[in-house]
Amino acid sequence: MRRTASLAAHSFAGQCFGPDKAKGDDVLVELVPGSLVICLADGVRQAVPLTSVKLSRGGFNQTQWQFQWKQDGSNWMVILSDTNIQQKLLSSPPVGLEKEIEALKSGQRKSKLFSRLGWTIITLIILIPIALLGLFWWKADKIAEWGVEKISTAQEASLGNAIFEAQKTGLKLINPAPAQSALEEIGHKLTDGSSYQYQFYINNDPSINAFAIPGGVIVVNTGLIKASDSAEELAGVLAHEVQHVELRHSLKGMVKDLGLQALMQFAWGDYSGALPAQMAKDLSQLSFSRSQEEEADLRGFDLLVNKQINPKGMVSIYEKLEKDGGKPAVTLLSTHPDTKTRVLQLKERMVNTHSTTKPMAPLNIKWAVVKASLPQ
Amino acid sequence: MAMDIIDYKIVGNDMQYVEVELDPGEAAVGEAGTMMYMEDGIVMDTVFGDGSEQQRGFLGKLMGAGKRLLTGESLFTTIFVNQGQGKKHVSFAAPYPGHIIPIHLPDVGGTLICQKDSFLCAAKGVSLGIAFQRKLGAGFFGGEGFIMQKLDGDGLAFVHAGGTVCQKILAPGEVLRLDTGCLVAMESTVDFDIEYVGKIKSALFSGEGLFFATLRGPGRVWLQSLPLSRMADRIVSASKYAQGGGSRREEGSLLGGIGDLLDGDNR
Repeated sequence: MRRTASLAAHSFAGQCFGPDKAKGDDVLVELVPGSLVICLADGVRQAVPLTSVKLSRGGFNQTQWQFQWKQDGSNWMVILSDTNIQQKLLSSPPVGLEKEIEALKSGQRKSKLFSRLGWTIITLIILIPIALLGLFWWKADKIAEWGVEKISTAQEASLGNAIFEAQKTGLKLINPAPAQSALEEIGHKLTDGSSYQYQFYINNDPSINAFAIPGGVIVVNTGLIKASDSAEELAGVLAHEVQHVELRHSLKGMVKDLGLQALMQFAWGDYSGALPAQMAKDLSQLSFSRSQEEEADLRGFDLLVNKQINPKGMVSIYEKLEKDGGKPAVTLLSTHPDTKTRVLQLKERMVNTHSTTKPMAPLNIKWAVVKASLPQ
Repeated sequence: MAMDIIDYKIVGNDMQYVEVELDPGEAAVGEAGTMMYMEDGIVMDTVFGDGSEQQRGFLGKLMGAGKRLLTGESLFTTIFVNQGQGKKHVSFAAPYPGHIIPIHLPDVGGTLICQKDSFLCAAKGVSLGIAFQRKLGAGFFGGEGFIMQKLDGDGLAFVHAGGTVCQKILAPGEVLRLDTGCLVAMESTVDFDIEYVGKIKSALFSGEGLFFATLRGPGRVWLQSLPLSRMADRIVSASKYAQGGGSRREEGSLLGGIGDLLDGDNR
């Protein structure tokens, strides 16, 4: 059975506007079948046939309902702004206004949909760049890794050379014969078979440090050689640095720091000019993350074992550095507060590998001669 | 809640101020920074939010203050209470050339929608809210932005507008097209929208912009002849510091540059 609208009068308070009414009059409106009855405050009742009444939405934000009709050539309007009554009329439309109210309903729905759509678009326009930035920040490591994969070894080497050239002015490179050849011997033994062309340099600097530049340049301070008591100890530090190069740690760090700019320049193959200088500056400020250091330690340890160099040297030099850790001269480990853990990890690794490997022959290098060749 | 009924006097022609008379115990709220003078006996108190007592509790106040930030006003309003004997006066000055419009809120159905920044002062108890324009077009191109001010209550409020102010009464269905930005205030029964000028030629060359604001009655609207932005544009373009210095608009003297030497006000 079709649900018929209630025949009872709908009544509500509204505002009535006419030709000479600057202010709307507060009126009581009744919707009886067939007509709209307006009861003015002075008791006058005026009935308008519903057939001549037009219903539309209006007012600020179209929140009001307007009953409009023409009388004696002028416009009249009753405004209904109470949303509760609007709801009531929507759910049980008065007789004669069913069509208008249905149209109003769909119009209201449409404009709501339109405004929601508009706002969704605006919100998206605002949010998408923020989301992208957030994603970039959140996944910076992964993105840097992805970018670094796109860089070939040859590109990396020429970039590394450019950086090294830029850094050279701040270094005092020397090559005392026994020390240089010992360094190269150990270095080449460690890096034999690598896709990088390694170069080893000695820097006359008393601080205990060594660093690697992307592409295979490794610089060792005289302070480090003096602090080492055997070739194996130096080999331990070298193995660590070699792993930084092999795992492209500094490259990743720089790509992450310089971001897109660096990637673009890599892609264009433009290493002249500002980028190497910027990277050289970055490199000196760059500190590897804790996980990168651990990775370099453990992989370095494995490298030593692989190349039949006794990894005991790595552990003992780390212990030495740890003991001296407070001194500013030891920069190799100073940026990493958890040196103790790193030493422990290496020791653990040693215990585990010891049972599986045969005893190794010591490196055939006269260490005292090497140390003596360095400037005092 | 009973509003404070205040008597007032608007003084001046183009740079007006309104002097409000307060009986003992009565209070008025003013936009921060608009107070001009107050007589002995009036005590000033700065409150967070808009000073209407509808906002209870800290959160309510915070919300009220936040809404004020959205409409570009200060977080605080100042309340002026007459704690002396007899009638006392406090006055509020318009921030730039224009006119002050007194609006008795019951006359406009208790709610007035106005341009943001236009509020000057009111009887204590008038609540200042925001009216969010939901029509995208009107919000973007209507000259008033999405956020307008809404004054609610049954007291007297004063809003300020640039240049000369005119009040128009729109009959039911009557449409008034105006330059976007010239609207100061309107009753909530008035429909505000925008309309594309329709012709590319006039859009490009009439200097009126691409859109008209359209007001549809019934109800009263208040228009300003000189929106602050328009005046600011003129001042900036006439300034010798505009366009990298050097160029500036003349007053139309035939002597041109020589006139500059003679008129004596150049440094």
